[in-house]
Amino acid sequence: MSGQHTPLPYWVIAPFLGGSGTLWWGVLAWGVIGAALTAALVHSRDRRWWGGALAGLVTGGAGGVLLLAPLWFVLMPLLDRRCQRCGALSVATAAACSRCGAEFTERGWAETLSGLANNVARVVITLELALIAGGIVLELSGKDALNTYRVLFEWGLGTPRARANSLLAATPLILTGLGTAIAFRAGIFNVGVEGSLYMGALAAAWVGFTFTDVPGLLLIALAFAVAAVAGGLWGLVPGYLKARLRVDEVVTTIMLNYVAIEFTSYMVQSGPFFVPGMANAMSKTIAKQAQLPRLIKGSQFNATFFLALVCVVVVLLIMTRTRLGYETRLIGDNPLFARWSGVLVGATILQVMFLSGALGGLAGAGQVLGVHYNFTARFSRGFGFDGLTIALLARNSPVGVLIGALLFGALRSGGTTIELFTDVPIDLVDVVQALIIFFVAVDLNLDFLSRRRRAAQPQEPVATPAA
Amino acid sequence: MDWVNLAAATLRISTPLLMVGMAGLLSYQVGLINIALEGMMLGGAFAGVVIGYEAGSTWLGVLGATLIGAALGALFALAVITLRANLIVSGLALNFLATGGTAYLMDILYDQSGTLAPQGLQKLPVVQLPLIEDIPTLGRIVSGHSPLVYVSWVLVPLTAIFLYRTVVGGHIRAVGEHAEAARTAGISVRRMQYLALILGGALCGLAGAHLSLGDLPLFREKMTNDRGFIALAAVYFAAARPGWTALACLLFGFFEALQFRLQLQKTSVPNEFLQMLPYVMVVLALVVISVRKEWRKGW
Repeated sequence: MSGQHTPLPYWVIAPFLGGSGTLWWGVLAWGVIGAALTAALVHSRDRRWWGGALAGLVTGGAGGVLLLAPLWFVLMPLLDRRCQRCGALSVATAAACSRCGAEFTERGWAETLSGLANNVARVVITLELALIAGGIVLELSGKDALNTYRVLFEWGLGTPRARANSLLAATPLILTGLGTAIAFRAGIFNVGVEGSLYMGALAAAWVGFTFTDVPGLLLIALAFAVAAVAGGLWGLVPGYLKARLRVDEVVTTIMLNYVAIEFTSYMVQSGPFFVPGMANAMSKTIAKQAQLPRLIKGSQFNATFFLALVCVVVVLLIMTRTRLGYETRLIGDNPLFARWSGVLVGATILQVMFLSGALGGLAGAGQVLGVHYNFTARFSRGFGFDGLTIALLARNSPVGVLIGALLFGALRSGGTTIELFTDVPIDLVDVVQALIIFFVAVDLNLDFLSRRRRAAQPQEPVATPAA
Repeated sequence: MDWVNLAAATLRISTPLLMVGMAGLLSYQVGLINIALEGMMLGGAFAGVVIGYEAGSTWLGVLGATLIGAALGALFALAVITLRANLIVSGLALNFLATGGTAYLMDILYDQSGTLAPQGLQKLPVVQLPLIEDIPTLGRIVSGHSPLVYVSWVLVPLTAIFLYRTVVGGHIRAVGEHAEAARTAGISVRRMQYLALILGGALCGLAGAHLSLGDLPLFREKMTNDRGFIALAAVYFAAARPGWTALACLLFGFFEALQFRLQLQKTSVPNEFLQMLPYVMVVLALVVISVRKEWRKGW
């Protein structure tokens, strides 16, 4: 401590200081502490220390202890369930009473919450794993990984403006993520949200520059509604093919994406919406009163974000509280069983595909009404595919989609700056995304929070391709 | 319209489709839908240029592309078979990895973005078939392509012979037909699946090499242009029979060649619709297959 003022033990603050050599030690120290902490906690509650140790090591490395410790200290004791027969307390995630062995039958709010925590933890951990792997890629290619990530996070989350931009980037991803998730729930591997997004965007732009006499709020509502219908109808195409003709949806949705992209480009490039004298392939600007105002200075952040939040709640309610949601889950789990229990599988598939496409359409409308103020050919930077990644990451839980989209938005928004401020190519973000999907696909058995889930969840494919 | 040129272009464009089609066919026959064809092909195309340039030999580039393709196939197999990952999800992941990874490596290794055309890298030599070259029209169509074009023609009957006339090929088909039964008969399902995916990867790598070394020696980002999916559709279309798959690949190749011609000719049909054509064809093909299947079942 000679001459140097160090208020805290060095390893505590090391992750937040400069100098890359020592940083790794700080990260490592946090990891070890996280591992010990979570291992001890889990051991005392669940007697499965290694799962906690692994999770702690992984999350601790990036400061995730801060996230997980409160969860265990505060949340979990609150969620203890009392046995109906003997009155003993068991951990919230227990399947049966720890003293007398009576099985818990009801699915209480405790389980719902722990399931939620599980989803949050999975999203965070998978993203962190991917970032760590990305860091290794960076170090191998001779770049300063920590500096890159510092720039990434600074420009993703550092300032109010950066945060607004991240929320802006997250907005379409929430919607496309929800759209993909709701289809995945039904066991439909819909890769076609991107196409619906284009159709919705074009429809919103058409409403926006055609009905210029309609007053503001009404026009905006109309544009969103028409976009949702357009996106939904586009989603119905593969939906119908699957429901009626049993055409495998994976390849058709991928192909129909390109059809939608080409079709919408045609509409503004040489078709009916072509504007003579415009250099780029874009439509007319939408009416002034339809342009969503920018809510934060220096960012294009707009009200679509709140619409997306509403959609999260609506989709959550549809999935958990309605007949459609129930039937969707039935079909997703076992189509044959669903059919024999009287679910009209074809009709449900159509409804789900319409909803899925409609959410994609809303995402496209949000970009038109809030960001571009017109329809530009090929404007999407893979929002649909990001949504797919997020839905996979969140295992189709709407709240998980929200969290995943927020993190992904920060990654995308910050990612655009790394090329400006470091010598790392922006394609790194794509590599990280690929790693995320890989980790999700391989399913690293991160269900350490719930014993029952792990036992009951065999490695099932999300959707079985029709041979 | 110049029909001779169109026919020659069809052959050239069909070549990667044929190779990738055979790759997709192998994995289809072993019971796995291979979404990752695209990524393996892109990886091969990139490896072809890089290895060819670094080694100073185009042929070594072709070899490297094949090996990298096989390695990607092995990676895919590892995820899908050993780690039991979802087939489609990991296929998409591999495609992402190839797209992002090639662009990233291009920037890291050569400080280039978009296109990589190393100085001094030769394209594959043009082969003039002896005798056939002198036949008036046929010679102009069939002769004078890159050697990989002819390799692709040989690969189709080779695949057919491999699948239908060898023991290993029989085992592969048995696994695809009924994995449980194959296992009971003492066939290692995992080994056959690994074999099919790795062989398929090698074929995709070779196809990639044709794209990056066959015509102009350069690599472009996303240069495979969804050929993987089109080839996959051809496989579906032909229910994974080698001859029919090849025919479907030729058909798709013809449409692409035709589309290029029509684009140049400034027809009244907008460009975008021509570009849509292969994708619409794929969807229609899938619909036709399904309808036919349903008809056979009698609704």
